[in-house]
Amino acid sequence: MMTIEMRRRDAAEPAGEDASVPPRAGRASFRAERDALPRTGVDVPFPDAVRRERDDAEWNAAVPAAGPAASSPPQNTNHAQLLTRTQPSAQEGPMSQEAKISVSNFDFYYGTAKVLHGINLDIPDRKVTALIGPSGCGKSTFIRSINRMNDIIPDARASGSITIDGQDVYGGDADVVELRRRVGMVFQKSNPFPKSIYDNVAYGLRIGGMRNKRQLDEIIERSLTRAALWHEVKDRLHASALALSGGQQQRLCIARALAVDPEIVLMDEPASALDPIATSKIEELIYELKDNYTIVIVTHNMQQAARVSDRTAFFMLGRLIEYAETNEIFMNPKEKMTEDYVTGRFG
Amino acid sequence: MTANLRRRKWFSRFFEILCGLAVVIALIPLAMILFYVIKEGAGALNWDFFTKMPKPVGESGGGMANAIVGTLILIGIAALFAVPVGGICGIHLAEYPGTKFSSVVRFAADVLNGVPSIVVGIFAYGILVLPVKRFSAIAGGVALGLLMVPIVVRTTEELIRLVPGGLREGALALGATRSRAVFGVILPAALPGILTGILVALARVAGETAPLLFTAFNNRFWSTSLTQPIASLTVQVFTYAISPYDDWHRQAWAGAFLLVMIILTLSIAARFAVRRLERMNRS
Ligand SMILES: Nc1ncnc2c1ncn2[C@@H]1O[C@H](COP(=O)(O)OP(=O)(O)OP(=O)(O)O)[C@@H](O)[C@H]1O
Ligand SMILES: [Mg+2]
Repeated sequence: MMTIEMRRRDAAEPAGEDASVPPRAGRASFRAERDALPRTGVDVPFPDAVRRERDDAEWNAAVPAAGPAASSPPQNTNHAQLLTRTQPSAQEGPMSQEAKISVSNFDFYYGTAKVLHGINLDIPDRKVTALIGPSGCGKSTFIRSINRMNDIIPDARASGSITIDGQDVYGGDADVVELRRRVGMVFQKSNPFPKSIYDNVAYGLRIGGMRNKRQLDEIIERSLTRAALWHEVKDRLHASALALSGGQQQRLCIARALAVDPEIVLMDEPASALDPIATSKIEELIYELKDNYTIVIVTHNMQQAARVSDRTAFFMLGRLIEYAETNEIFMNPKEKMTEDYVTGRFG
Repeated sequence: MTANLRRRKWFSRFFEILCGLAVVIALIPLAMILFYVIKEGAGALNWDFFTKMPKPVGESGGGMANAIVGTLILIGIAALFAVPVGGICGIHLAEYPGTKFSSVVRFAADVLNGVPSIVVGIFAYGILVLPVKRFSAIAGGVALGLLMVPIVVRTTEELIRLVPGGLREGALALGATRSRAVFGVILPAALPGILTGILVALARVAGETAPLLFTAFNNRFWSTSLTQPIASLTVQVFTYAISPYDDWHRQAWAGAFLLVMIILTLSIAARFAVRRLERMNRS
């Protein structure tokens, strides 16, 4: 049986509430709710201050300035300027929180080709962690290792360890099916099942054994609302999911992943096939989801990484080159390679 | 224009004509068959043909009601036998393509596909008729089913392979087991195509005569019993066509016409299903 934990603040709200309000108002209430919370030391105040006064268009235009240095004028937006800025970030220092996902000495092979070399990193709980790096550097391989999606590839082999809440994902007693229920995934190419919108979101719940119609209805509405899709589809829940637009399909896939109440959501270039408007919707969504979920996102879009993530890991040629707070990576990278990459000198 | 270019143009023209000729040669018999069957058969087809039983020799009139129903029963049994067996084999081949067992299954399906239908009939005779010493609808249906199996295996395998890999990953990523992913997501996605394949296979076996000769045999009387000999359109057409009576010849043409129409309808239905599937995949 699925249990819908009450750890989510909004779980207690009437499910219909968000449905009636347009998404922007939804975001405002989300912010109010979020701001009312006590802050932890590491909670990066990041875009809030900036975000509050700006509308989406400006937001999209003003990208990398959205670093935590929210006090800086938003018009200073090019990378070179950002990189020459020496002002140290307020949020330096080690993560004061325990890692949700902990990766150590992780290697990965496709047959005899070694594509990941000794990866070590700790992914914090309820934060957005971005993975960036040139094409073919192993980002997808890495993210798919976390929920063992690579298991279905013949001849693929992993060594080293990945733990979630201290439990070894690749351990002998690990249950892949259970793991994948805890770790949701959204793919680059949206992959709705050729079923109705309702059945898509219900899929994970049903395989978890949920049969109660009222319960299903409720969770489906809440998941679709969370994925900012509810008001667009509430009148045609039983229409085919394939009739939705690309951006809607991707949000449906996010809703489908959220419905089973995962702790971690992995996203492999979730917005790469979408137009800017759909992309900004997804980004907004990711930003809101991080209060409840640990999110790992692969992206080729530097601005996107800067906008949505708290921490960023830079990969190259199968190695983790640098991993730090996002603003550090973009404004004050320690490694020359990172600097070259984020300033667009290669990749 | 150089001589070389002229020669190449001439060659190209020559092969175009050759191809056109080949098409005409292939189409002429088809057109002639259809023409004759329609000319002879459509006239002999009347309401009695569908509703009346065969008349004894010498009396004119009567119909093939028992054979029409018999054919439907036979292809029904064939489908009941071949769809589960072929479907499961096809799923296995698509899911575990590399295993030793799979190559054995694939080879067996290919061989079975090439076995002459009369041999399949003799086989069914050996295992289903001889032991009980009676021809039966079941024996005939199984013989037809055996002929359907390889077609169903291959279409199922191919159509499951055509389902985008993202669907499988999507299901697995939600915590589905492999079998749940296959039966809950992949198979339903491939189903319209698989149904098409089944229709094509049915059309193919509906026209078989040889495997029925010593399995379902024939029956002059009305019978829907599965353990009794049963009439079929093909065997009835065969029996009437080799008889010396004009009235029976006319009825044989009518039966042939009906068979052609059934097969044409099934093929067209299959085409439609494929079109719809293609449209669905494109969107
Ligand atoms: N199924 C596979 N079999 C063999 N090699 C593979 C397979 N998938 C990926 N690779 C190889 O592994 C390396 C890492 O690939 P991966 O897909 O993880 O890169 P990526 O960083 O996600 O790239 P992109 O940004 O283009 O998506 C590449 O060299 C790729 O060719
Ligand atoms: Mg990738």
